[in-house]
Amino acid sequence: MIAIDYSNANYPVRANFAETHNRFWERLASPGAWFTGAQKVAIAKEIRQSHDCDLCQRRKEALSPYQVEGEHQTASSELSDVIVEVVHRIVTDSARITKNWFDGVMSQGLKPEEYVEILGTIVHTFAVDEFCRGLGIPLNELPEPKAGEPTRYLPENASYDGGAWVPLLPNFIEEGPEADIWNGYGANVIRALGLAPDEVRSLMDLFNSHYITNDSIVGDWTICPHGGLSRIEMEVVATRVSSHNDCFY
Amino acid sequence: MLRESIKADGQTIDLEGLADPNCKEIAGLKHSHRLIEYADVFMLRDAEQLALVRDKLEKEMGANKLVDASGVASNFQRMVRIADGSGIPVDPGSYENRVDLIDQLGLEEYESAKNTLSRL
Repeated sequence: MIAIDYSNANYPVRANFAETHNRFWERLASPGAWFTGAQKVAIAKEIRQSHDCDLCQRRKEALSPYQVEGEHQTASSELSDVIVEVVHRIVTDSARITKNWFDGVMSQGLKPEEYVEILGTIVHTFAVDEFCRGLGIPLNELPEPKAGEPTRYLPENASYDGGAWVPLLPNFIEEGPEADIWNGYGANVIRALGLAPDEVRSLMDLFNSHYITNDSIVGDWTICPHGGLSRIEMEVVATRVSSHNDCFY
Repeated sequence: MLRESIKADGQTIDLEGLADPNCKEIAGLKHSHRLIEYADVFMLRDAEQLALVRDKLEKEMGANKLVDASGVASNFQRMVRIADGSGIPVDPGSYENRVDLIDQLGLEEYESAKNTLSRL
């Protein structure tokens, strides 16, 4: 696999971006809990394709995306139609996703644990790609998939008690195989990926380089966590991007 | 995240206006206009405009801050999709603590609020 290297980028990209992006690329190429490395890399290709999909564009422009029928323009034939729909929809129009849409996806044969692994694969890959776009750096070459079968690992302590569409892990996990995945309190947006614990591990790892560590979210707002933007300046960017995304959460 | 910003901000800087598209700077925060401009253009997905805005931000604030801005922007492209895609409710207590702010900013008009609030 060609390592991600930003040392020749047009800006001085601090080293922990390449370190965390490489760790995620390694995980992307490897078999997950429910999908092979080849399927996960195919999902990553589909993320990039979704920006050029006519159906997604027409849905984005429509008053309701549910009024527009058609077929997605896909990057390959490696993924089922329902997985392509999940990838394209989450990337291009996530704000208008409804419970009915989610139930429709489930009725086409996806299991919640599979959906969560797809969701994690989408959002982490998208974050790495968006980082490059934000700096005008060419997108990183996707990794070569690694051989092997999915682990079929399912955490035992996930439940629907959290009120989400998918089972969540508890806010606090002090023991067991998932005790390492976050420090202290896990907010719902972190617990949301808990059905695929490795997706939480990638979430937290990338969080540390792109933003701050989970246990410093409530802390000193005058410091510069990475030597660049101050925490308050970070929140300006975070809040504005979230506002553009109609992020109520 | 907006809630955390305001709650933890012990200074006089107020981020509330950022949900208003007409807000172009934050009083008391030097260079905030550049960060807001960067975030706005980042979300437009226009590579040429983004290159222009990057240059301005780099000249005014430095390359390290530009790199951080891209890291934060890309991170929050991710977090919203996790929330939207999983139908999570807001965390316990957080809605009650920010009802006034939600009303002030009109956040209940967001499409995603329908999912988030229906799960309370």
